[in-house]
Amino acid sequence: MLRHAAGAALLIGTTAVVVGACGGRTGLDMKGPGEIPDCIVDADCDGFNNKCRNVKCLMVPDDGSGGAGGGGASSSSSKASSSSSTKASSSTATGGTADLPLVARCVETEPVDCGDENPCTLDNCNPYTGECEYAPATVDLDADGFKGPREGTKVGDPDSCGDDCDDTNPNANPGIKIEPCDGVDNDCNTIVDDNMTFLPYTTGPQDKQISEHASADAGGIAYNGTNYAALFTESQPAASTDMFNAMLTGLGDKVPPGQQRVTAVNGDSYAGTLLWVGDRFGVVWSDRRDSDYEIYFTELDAKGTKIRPDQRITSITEFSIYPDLAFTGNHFVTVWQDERSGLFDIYGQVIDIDGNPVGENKQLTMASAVKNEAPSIAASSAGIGVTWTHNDTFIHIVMFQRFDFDLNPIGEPIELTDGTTEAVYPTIAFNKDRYIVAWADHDKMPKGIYAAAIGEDGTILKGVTSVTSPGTHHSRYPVLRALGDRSLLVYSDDRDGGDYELYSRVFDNDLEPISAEFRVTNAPADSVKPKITFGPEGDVGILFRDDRTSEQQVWFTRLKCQTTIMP
Amino acid sequence: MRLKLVSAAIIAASLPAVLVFGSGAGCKNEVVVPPGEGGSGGSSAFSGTFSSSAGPKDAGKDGFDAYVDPGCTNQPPPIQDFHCDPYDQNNGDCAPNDACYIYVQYPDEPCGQEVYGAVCAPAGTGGQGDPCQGATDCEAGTACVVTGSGTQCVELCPLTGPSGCPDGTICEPIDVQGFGGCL
Repeated sequence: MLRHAAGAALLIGTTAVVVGACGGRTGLDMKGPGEIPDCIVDADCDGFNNKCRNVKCLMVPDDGSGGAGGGGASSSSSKASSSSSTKASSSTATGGTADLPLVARCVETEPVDCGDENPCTLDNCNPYTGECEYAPATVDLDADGFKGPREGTKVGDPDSCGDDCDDTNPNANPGIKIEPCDGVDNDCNTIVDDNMTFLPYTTGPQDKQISEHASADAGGIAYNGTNYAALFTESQPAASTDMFNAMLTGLGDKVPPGQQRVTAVNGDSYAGTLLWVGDRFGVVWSDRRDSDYEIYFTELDAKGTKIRPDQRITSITEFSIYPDLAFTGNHFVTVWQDERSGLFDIYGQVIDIDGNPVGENKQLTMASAVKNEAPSIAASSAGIGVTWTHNDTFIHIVMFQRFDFDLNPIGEPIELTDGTTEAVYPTIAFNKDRYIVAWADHDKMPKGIYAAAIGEDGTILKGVTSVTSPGTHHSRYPVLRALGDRSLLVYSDDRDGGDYELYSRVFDNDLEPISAEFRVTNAPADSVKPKITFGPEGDVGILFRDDRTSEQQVWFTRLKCQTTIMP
Repeated sequence: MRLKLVSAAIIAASLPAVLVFGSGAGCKNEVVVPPGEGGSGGSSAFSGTFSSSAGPKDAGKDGFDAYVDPGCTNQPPPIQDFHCDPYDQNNGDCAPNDACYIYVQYPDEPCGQEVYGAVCAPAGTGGQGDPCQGATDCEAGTACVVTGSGTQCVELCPLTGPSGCPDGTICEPIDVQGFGGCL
């Protein structure tokens, strides 16, 4: 919409206006030597054609300073009248300028003020017309009739100017009253798939082998609304170990042309993870093409085709490894461990939507004798949460810290465990109003998965809590998916005979279980290191490493959404 | 994660793990590796949309460099350089009191080849889970790897078939192709 500028008319009190500027040259009654004018008409002044700045050629008292000179606009702000006098009027003059001769100067009068104090509009002055333009501060990206919240706010904030909780998905908006099983908070009540749980299919094995050559390892999985993208590492015969991507149907079948190499370098590459952000996948990994491990980033389109060159994120002479990735709504943020300072520390990098680094690598931790390793990251609407382990071989402490979107620390690091047990490999998810951190503890009884909940303000809402029950056996490799009022946990557990199998369970925001532990895989040998994402019709797609063929391969399976939460 | 062998020349263990061969974080591998046949490695197999340079170019040695496909016309396999069998420490390949350690040497030019191998070196004493700074801190049949939960000795295990790993651990691939470590 267009609105006329308010209060932006020329108001000159102490100066006289050169009437007829902008085209018509008006003779000037110059007085005395040395009174060199800046201008004759407005067009002589830089910026005269920016109608938002109101740079005019005006007759002003000559105080000897020479004015702006050079045709530039004076920084002085003037009040205007329509007088054409060439001498300051004693009735309006102030500050002893009444008797000074007048000289033509370029003067910037008050710029057009388009501010309407309405946070829901983006206020702008059109420099060609001088008119104020007010664009909506929020848009309806998914065309479902509801706008998303303003940048930096979240739905429910008084100045959010939008109430679509997911403006990338037309199946989520406050106008929807039915919540189907689809992994989406359809009705914007902050809960995903209300009152539903996730169970293994009972109609037979759903497992599909994804990788073609051993040994292979799962990197990450994401769903773009049509297909899964599976990112994994594979060692091909007589070749280096590289990173591949395969697009999968909802059933886990490969979409032609099948798996594609994402990295093609002379040194081995190891898959990190990938995220779908509405129109592209962001991918992060480490590889050693240049003498040691560095962190790289690229993007894939919706079909899984690489659309950007590899962007090298780090450049040090020591290892930069084990990256994780989050998306803030505007930027990607990756964290990893590297040893540029002698011991492993956690570093991070903000990356814009087109894959360009924003600023420099930021050191997030400061090791002193004990390393910081294995970071995991989650983004909330207010900032970023990072968890990692502060460890050497004998001490393992799970840590958590909040950062702003520029990776500046907020508050102090928090020790979630006391270092008396081997708590390792933490993972993190942001869930409604809290961060959930889960990890494996190889010492504590039971040797299972533990979790803690931390508020957005850094308050520990629930301390260390056991969330699996492996008995005398072990649970490892936890991954989380936030559901608003509860969380889905998938992990490996060897309680059923020595081999690790995948299990799942749901617990509430106080970390109390609200489902049984369900065994997901049932094949010989280990099924480990799951990665999960929501898929079609409420399914949860799981990418994992499985040794059932006597080789380490990457497999896919899925959980189905069911409408009853089991006790 | 894949285990990374400690040292720039040897990567090991699974986050996948990273192998550690040198004398610790920040130290380079001291093992002398025969020069590879190198030179014509690398890859142009990727068929992405970004440009492939006509001649060799640096594959982004500096941070924030966009990767330029070096345009290597062939991608020969990594060079294998095994002077002993890491899975059979008592076969006489190495002198008494030495052990057979795996190693890897990364490419130092865009179309260079990696070198995987194993060499004899004085045997260390570290066992499964013991801290290490380099391969020779660890006993025969183990490797020093970056795990993400401390740099430690891990028992070598085969990537196919039964791993023989201690209860509760699994065989994680090490970044020396074909080798795993119990973690």
